[in-house]
Amino acid sequence: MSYDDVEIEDMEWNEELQAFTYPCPCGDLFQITRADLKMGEEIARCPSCSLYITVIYNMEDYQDPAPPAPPSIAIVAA
Amino acid sequence: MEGSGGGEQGGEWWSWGAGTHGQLGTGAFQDELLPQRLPPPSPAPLLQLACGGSHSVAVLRNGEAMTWGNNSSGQLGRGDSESSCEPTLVKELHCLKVHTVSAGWSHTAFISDDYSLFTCGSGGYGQLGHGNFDSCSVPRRVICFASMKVFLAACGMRHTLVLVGSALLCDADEEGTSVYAFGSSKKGQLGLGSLGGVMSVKGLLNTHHTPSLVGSLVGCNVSSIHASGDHSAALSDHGNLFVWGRGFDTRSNFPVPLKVLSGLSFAQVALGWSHLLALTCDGQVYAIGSRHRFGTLSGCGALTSEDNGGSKSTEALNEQRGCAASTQASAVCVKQFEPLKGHFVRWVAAGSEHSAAVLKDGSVVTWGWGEHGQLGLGNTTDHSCPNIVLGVPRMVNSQVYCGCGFSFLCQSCT
Ligand SMILES: [Zn+2]
Repeated sequence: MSYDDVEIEDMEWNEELQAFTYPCPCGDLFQITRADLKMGEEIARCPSCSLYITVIYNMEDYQDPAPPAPPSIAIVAA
Repeated sequence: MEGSGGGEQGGEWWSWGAGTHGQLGTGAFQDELLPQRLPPPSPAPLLQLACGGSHSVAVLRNGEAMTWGNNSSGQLGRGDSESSCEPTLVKELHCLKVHTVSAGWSHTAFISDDYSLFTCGSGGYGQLGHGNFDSCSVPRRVICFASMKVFLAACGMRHTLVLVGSALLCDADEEGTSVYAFGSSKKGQLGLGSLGGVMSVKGLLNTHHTPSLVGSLVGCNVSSIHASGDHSAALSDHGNLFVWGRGFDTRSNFPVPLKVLSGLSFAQVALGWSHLLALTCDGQVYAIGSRHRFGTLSGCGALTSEDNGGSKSTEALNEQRGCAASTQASAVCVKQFEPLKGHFVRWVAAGSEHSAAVLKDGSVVTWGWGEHGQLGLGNTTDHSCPNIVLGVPRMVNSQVYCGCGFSFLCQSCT
């Protein structure tokens, strides 16, 4: 059972871990990566214990941005 | 060193539970399933302990403070970010005498004997009260209390409460206390009666980086304050209990302190991440909370009782002259903790998801989440009923302290 439901805006980006984190009651951090979010993963796990949380987010926010419109004059590398 | 301390109390202490950040002070970065006896604090006996997310703070009787555990946000106050598995003096406070401390998820508050407040550690939600969102690895004085006497601080996950001697009461003749709050108010944990706040440079909403007066507690004679997770609580000198912040039993939050209608007079409060324990003057344990995933409170029966208590409201308000805290009996339900009924309890403590108590004969009992050995029972199972912790002596002056997945026991010298 999920320990809690946490909105992504309440998670903190951790540069060292390259993950969004949220405090776990064991003293460690629940973690979820951008790649996880992109794939639609909604479970953030703690590496130190069996607990996990459900991350509330909008999956579209983590998709790659739409490719820019092709320039009118294409520069093609040789 | 058996019997060291020359008869001085406060020399004996033990720790157990989650320890991978060094928070047990055992000299190792590892969990312990059974109580580990620690070397006597030096150079003076223990006065008080505080256990946070993954760090610990001690006050010694000579006014020095020691810290150990996770230091990734500077919460140990030593000017660096190196974690430590051995209690070490906070030299940055050496010219002060520390009177009391509090440890939050990743921040720390120190109060000196001249009633000044110093904070360090994580400041990303304004929980240091320095008027910004910066973290700080050296204890820095919270300037806005310069003209007030700070008595107590309580650090939660991302917020801080402070109890000061009355300064803003209109009636100058009245002796009283005021509660200030700062940090995240996302779940109403500041008790400011609004979910709004300033926007930080990081675009965070619902944060207050400068202390604000909790107006509805003015006149309530608050004598102790408590913060853990996204919860806040206060006890008045009449034994009245107030709670605010994240709801215990429901998804709703309470942005204004609610007076808990129980007809009881409480002497001590312990707050976890999803439960609250309150000890009555006659040694009985009561509890709030029903998100008991780990059996923290399973003995309490139906905590979601529809007990309305509406008829008590007027009476309670009358006895609480001048106190504006809301009275919503139906919102918060306190129930006797059945497994300890009939026992005289001297002391209660709450970790994030576990609990501990000291009984009349000095026995220490624990219950709740046990995955990291925080119950001290030699295993990692959860226990919904209190079990006696073996391997520590029965001391009637014991005090037990719980953090996130870990516990300390020490002899009181207060
Ligand atoms: Zn964990």
